[in-house]
Amino acid sequence: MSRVLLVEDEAAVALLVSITLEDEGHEVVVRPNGRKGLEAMRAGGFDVVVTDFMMPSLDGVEMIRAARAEGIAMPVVLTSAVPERRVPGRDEGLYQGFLQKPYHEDRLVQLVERLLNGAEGDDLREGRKAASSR
Amino acid sequence: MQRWACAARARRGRLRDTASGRSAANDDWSESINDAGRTDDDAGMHPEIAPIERMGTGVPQLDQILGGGLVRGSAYIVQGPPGAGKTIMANQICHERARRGEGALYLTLLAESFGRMFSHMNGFSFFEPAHIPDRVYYAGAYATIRDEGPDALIRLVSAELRKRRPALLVIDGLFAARDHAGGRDADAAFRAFVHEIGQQAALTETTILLLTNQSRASSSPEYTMVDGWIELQDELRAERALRTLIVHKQRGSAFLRGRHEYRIGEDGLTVFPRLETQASREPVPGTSDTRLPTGVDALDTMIGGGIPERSSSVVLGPTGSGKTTVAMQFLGECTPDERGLFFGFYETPDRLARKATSVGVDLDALRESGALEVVWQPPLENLIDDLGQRIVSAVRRTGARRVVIDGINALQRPLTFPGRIHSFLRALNDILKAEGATTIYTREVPQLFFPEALAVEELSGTIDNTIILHYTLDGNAVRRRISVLKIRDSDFDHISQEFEVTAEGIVLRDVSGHERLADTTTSATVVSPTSASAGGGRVR
Repeated sequence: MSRVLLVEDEAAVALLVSITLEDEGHEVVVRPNGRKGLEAMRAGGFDVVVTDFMMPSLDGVEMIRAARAEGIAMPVVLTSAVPERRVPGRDEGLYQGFLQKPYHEDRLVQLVERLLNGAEGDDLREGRKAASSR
Repeated sequence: MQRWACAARARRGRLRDTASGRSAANDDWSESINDAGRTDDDAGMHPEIAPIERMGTGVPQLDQILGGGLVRGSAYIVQGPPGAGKTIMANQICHERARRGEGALYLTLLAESFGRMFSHMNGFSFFEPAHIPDRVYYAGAYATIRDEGPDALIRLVSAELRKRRPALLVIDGLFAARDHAGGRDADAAFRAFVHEIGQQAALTETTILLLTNQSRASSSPEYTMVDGWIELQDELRAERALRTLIVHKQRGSAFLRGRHEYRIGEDGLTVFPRLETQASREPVPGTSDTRLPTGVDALDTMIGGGIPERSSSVVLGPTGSGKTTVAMQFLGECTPDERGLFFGFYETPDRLARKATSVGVDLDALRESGALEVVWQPPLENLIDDLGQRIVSAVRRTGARRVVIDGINALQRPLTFPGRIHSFLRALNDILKAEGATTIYTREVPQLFFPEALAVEELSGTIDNTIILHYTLDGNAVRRRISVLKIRDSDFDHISQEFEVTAEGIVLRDVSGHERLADTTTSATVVSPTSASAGGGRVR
């Protein structure tokens, strides 16, 4: 069983995603914004982070940057209602997987499990190929 | 010290407006907002007191109702039932600020998905995904209010305003703050929350919209603590759904009170201020001594030389009596220097053109020469003030001096309160007269023969001239007659005349059956077997 940190400000999304991941056998810890997410990352013990981009206090990208600056590194799936080309720092290697909302829960489960199995690359970033071909 | 801080922010705000090139806005009213965000109303205010600064909403005509737009640094409650359009309106204003180079923050306290909201908003023309996230930022704070209460939400809002410095903050789901205040002092905690939000708005010069679907008594404390209160209503009236907007409160502004209808279309909300609020309170110019030919020479003679310029007339009559024909002959006199407008509900432009040709008026030629514009509006579920505004806009756009509105019955249909037609027509007439237009309305009445009584009280005092068309029975023959009931401040022929609708238009006959013609040198009526000269748009 792996531990997933879910950082998500949309309560309905947080509830559904945590249920989905728990049904797949993961333990899920939910935090409602980037500041609380960073605190959880500092505490450690997670195998993968699933975080929203636009959130109050710290957004998802700011949270990952701050964690990296403190030497905290773990696989990250970034989700957002905006397409990836609107995400600042998308070429900084801050996250390994990307999903644009609304997404099917199966896509998230697949991404999380591939990251847990050590997969890397652009194919983990849904929409990346379409965005970069523009 | 706080006052100095506010003044400094106000100066910053002005610089920001200038830098973003904010000038004209979305409607006529907003054009009077200058680059500093001040309105013409501020002229003459004490120079040591900072004037109110406003922001355009991007919601057509809403700024006019608000007295110039939202006030910067003020907190508003936007209240309405689910489906009324609060979220659409808030997004519309957010993207308007972004379009003008400012920032907006949309914070929801509802368990709602932005992904789905974006999908819904994507169908509206105002929604610009490229503004997200740099200019319009969306974030959720439901978990904060649920887990930590209103105080934590205030801290979060304060931090977000400092970090992002938006011109506009939307908090969607105001009463989540009340629901999660908890304990016996929930109301006190909620009041404190609303008060704190108002303080945040003033201190940061951020305009804050608090959206809620809860309808509480107007004496509820939250309404006294905010600077503005806008209500959206969505009601069923018989089988028809009707949306109306009411501004209950707008501190420091002369706003347009009462209900104003609005529509949600592909451009988002469009509000239609009641026409009565747009008519000048100054006396409008009276009718002039100049007479405009009606296009029916003998009728001109009956009414003393033509229709008084800048007057309003109604042509009443049962179905098929010739009302639209009279109106078309009036427009047949239009020229590119004396333009006309036909605003109709029943005849499509093609049918109208065919009908006009059959009575000797070449409508297509008039349109092609620029002398006439035809606007057709099906008599379906219209909004009365939308119709009024479209008529006024068309007259202003074309500079029309001859206007036909065919007919009043279709204007009455969308009225929620039928008695309003009187004040509506009064306002419409005053505006059209001020524009220099001479207007003929048609109105269908059920009576086939000369009526002993007419239920047209809506016209009393609002219409200058009344002409009635009716039928008579002559043995087995049905004949048409025309009678003049009123020409304001003018004498007229009180004897009704028989008329026929011919290929050259309306022809009046005297009792012997001869055609009645106007004597162009006197007001006397002469009898001749031949036709008089035709007007500018007549088929020759």
